[in-house]
Amino acid sequence: MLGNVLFGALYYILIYVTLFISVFWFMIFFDKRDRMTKDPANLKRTPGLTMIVPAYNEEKTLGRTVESVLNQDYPRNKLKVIIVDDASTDGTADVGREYARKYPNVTFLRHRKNRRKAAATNTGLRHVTTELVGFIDADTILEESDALIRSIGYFRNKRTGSVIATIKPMDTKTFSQKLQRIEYTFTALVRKLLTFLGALYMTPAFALYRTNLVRQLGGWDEDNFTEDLEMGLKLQNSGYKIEMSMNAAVKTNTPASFSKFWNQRIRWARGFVYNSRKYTHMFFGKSFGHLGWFVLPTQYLVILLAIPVFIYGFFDALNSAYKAVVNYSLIGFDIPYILTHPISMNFNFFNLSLFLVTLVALAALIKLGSKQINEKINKFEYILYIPLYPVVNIMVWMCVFYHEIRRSEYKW
Amino acid sequence: MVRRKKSPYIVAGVVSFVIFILGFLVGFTMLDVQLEDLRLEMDRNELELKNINLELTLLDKLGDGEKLCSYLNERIEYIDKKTWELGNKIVNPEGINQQYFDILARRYSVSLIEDWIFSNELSERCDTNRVSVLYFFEKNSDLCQSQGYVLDYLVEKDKENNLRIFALDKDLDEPAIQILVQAYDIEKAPTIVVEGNRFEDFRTKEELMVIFCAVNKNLSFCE
Repeated sequence: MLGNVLFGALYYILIYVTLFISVFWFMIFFDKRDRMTKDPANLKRTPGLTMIVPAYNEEKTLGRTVESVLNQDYPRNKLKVIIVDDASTDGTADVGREYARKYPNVTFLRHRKNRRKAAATNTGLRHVTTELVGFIDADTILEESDALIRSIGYFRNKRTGSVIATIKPMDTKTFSQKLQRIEYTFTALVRKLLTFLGALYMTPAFALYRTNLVRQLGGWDEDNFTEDLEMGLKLQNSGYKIEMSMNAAVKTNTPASFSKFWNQRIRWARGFVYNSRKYTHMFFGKSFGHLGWFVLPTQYLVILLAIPVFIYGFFDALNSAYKAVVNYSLIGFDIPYILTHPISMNFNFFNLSLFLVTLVALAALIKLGSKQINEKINKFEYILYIPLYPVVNIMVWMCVFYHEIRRSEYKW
Repeated sequence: MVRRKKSPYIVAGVVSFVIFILGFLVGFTMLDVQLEDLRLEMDRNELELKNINLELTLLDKLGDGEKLCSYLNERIEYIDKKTWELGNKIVNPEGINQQYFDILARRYSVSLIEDWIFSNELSERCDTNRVSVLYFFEKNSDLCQSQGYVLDYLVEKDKENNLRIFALDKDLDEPAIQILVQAYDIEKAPTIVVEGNRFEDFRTKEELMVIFCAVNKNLSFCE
């Protein structure tokens, strides 16, 4: 009885909060819709830019990534590439060396020992001599040749510390890749909307920075396993904003198997928890505006409401299923009868209608996102993956809290 | 004049509150439609039961015995079917006013007892193959839910529709039910009463078949 009341209360709060967040994003979108895909005019003088490509066992994709950078409509004399091989055990070094030999503006560096991505990017940073620096994952490509030139206009604003791009999945063949496409489409929209609030706090897969600023901030945190998130928080903490160009899209390799996808999400979510601890003062911090008072706290609020609701709902459904099986066994599992007389769950019209409203709001946001980034998602994918996406997310976070409580070791 | 923009948080809060309330209203409307449907069906069922009482009196005065039995048999079968369908629709959904639901449940139980009386009367007057079973259950009891499912199954398996279950909530505050509870000395649930004999506790499908077939071997599943 108490469980029912608590579940009911938490459920309604969760629905209201998610509804509130969805409406909030809609409002920001309709207010700023003219600026969604409008990048600022280019800088009068094109600054020098070095793209760092940290790579570990990426022999198959590294060439593609470097080509996509070299093929940019960026003045050739202003664009440099530094490939940093983080002691790969495959042919990554050979690919890197070959590009360095072939192109004078490509430099190849190599770690003797594997020190992970942040260290590789820092190694590259030490060799940068240009005004701007960027990094791109070695399994990611710039989709169009104007991605870099479109992005740099944002540096007109002196408080812009970094510019990121829209991330799209390279392949959408498997179940988890399709699920990720839904996620990436949603996050592309939300990230852009966050920029209007000055509250974007991550720089994943591809980002450009002011070189001096990154050096001042001490580069990427090598002990952090979501260093791109940490860099974003660090920039915000120092009073710099992160911008995003929706036109400058990058395509990245996404895990094809569910287990790899799962592990990646666990790492990202644990990275969020880790960095939340590191930057606790940003939560409800006076000088962090929307980021401190809304964006960061609601991440936890939604998940902390969703987990008990999910657990209760799950066990309730499990209990109903168990009872149904017991009853079916009492009639000797008479299949024709069971099919015509299934034991239905006693659902609640209020809960159902509110839940559907929330799902429709999420679907509408994803639809908006897909239009903005020209990503076609068919109706079947909407129906299947949109209800699944929050469920997978909740399960990831349950697992993360379990690891955090047990203080399990962080895995790269 | 400079128009000051309202905080997006306040606007979003108000808009989402309106949507939230609309969600509730949609839920209420759907529930109301469902209840109205149920109420209408119950009215119809009660009218049919009144009619059958009248028909019984008329046929008693005007008709002969054989005609009476054949006619009543058809009518009772029809009423039985309708009452059975109605019973399956009366579930206690969340969000409904409990008092309102209790009245619906009481109205249904009264109809059921009336039906049971007619059914017994028919068995006394005519040579029918019917087996009338009073089934006393408790709300929120898993065992009763299982017993109900097995009884439903046997009703469905009796192709000739000769097995009739009258399911009554033994704790319902309805005088007619309490009379039956006292008359059959019902103390716990599930309990079934067949031909005046009381069988307490959960009974499996096989045990029930033995009980019912002992009363009437002509039930379809007794073969």
